[in-house]
Amino acid sequence: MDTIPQDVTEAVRAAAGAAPGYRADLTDVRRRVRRRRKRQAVLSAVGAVVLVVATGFGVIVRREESRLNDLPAADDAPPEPGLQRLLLNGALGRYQPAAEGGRAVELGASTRMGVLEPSGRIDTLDVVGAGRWDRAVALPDGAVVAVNESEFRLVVTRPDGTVRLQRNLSHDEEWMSLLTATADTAYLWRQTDLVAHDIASGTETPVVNMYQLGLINMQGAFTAADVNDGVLVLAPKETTGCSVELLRRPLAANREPVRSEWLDIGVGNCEQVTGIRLSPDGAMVAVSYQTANHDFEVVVFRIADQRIVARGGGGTGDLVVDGVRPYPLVAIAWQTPFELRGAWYLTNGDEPFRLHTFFINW
Amino acid sequence: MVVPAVMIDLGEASSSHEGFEAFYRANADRVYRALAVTLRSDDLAAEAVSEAMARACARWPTVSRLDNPAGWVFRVGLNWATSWWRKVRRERPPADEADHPRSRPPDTAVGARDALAKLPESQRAVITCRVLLELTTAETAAALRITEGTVKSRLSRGLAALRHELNSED
Repeated sequence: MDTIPQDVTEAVRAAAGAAPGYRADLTDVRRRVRRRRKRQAVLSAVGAVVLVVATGFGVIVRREESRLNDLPAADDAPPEPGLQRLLLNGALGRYQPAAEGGRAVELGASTRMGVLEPSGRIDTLDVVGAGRWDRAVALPDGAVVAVNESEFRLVVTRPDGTVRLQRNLSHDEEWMSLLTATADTAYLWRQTDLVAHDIASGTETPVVNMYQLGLINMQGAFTAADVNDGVLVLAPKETTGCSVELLRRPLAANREPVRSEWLDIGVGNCEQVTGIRLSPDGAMVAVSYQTANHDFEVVVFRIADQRIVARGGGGTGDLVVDGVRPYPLVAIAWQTPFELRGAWYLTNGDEPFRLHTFFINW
Repeated sequence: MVVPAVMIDLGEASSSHEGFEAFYRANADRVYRALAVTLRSDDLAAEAVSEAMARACARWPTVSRLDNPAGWVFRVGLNWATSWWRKVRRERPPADEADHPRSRPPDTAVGARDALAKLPESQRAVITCRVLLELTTAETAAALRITEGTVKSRLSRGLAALRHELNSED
């Protein structure tokens, strides 16, 4: 039988169409090619290649990078008080601060990052220690923990913007990314695990692995996540609707599926969780999400009883961003234990872009 | 510890890479969907197509001369995924996907996916090659390294079983 009936063809195509779009890209393919070539080169030159392995998890520093320590500070103004700094991830172009009379600031996504201070001032962080920062966390004292994913490099800066530490994070050039960081720990996604990377020693401790979460690998599995000492919150990409998965730490280091709790955003038209930010004490979690109407909203949960304690943009109603095109980016940070600060901003269109701020408290 | 960085110049053979890029853009999603149906796992299919595309990229001058490079990528991805599953199954029992909150396809395709899921993987592979990759019988045989007669018999049995499942779901 060589002819395939039309109804069967349509059924097979419908089944294939149900799969989410292919998410990898050429960068990922090239990385795999490099890894394969490197592995083959090593195998074919056994005895001729000397592998230099540092203690711990391979602390490798390039010789030419040491001079980068002398680069000047990114910004002279000290950070303003707050539990967390509001990093304007993905901001690209000229931005007009919300503060009266502030001058527009040029930001370059991964080459010059911006932090929105509580006063409305934009502090800039010039990228040092790597060609670009793909992910960065601005710490309350002004230091930065950043990662360049293609160079597999961790960069930690001092509050004055100079490089304090650089480290090669490569494990056989497997994919890795930075989830978040504290002054002592960088939480890193690796292909099969989320690990707590001790910044001082380079030692890595598993937080959770793909087996425990029932995943094939970690890459691209979540639209947002955050972690601290006491809790891990994940927004799985494949979850129907908008729920976030709560796992209380520490988790047993094995391959058995872990028991998780689910926090329901509680709205029917939620389409995708775009950001998760735990309060530093782990008592609360703020979740930003996009609705089917392309609006953005924020909901705050209390971890202890999993109850929603606040929603949306305070006095402006539930919507933080209402019908703005093209889609803006939304960033959130904890200002105090009872106040969440946020901003939304565009990345294309007429410059300078305005920075719109909002506060949620209860 | 100080060591020089190992750098590999990917700029070599740029025209070859342009050819691969065009192939990748035209076929990655198509092969991924065919693998997703065959393997019954979207995540595993994504990983398999990435691995297979990396192998195609590494030997693109050879792969590009094949009659059907997309079929080759499909087979390599299928073989890789099969090996991966064998390895994982030795280490842990397969997860019950029905109980997992991440695996809920849209309602419109549930029936079709369920019906396909009841077929043996060998029959699903033939059906997806023919329907989704639009390969002929001969091309399917070459891609899966089986005879044309085997393609025909698997297709015949697979279609009969699939129609039965689809009708019984109605």
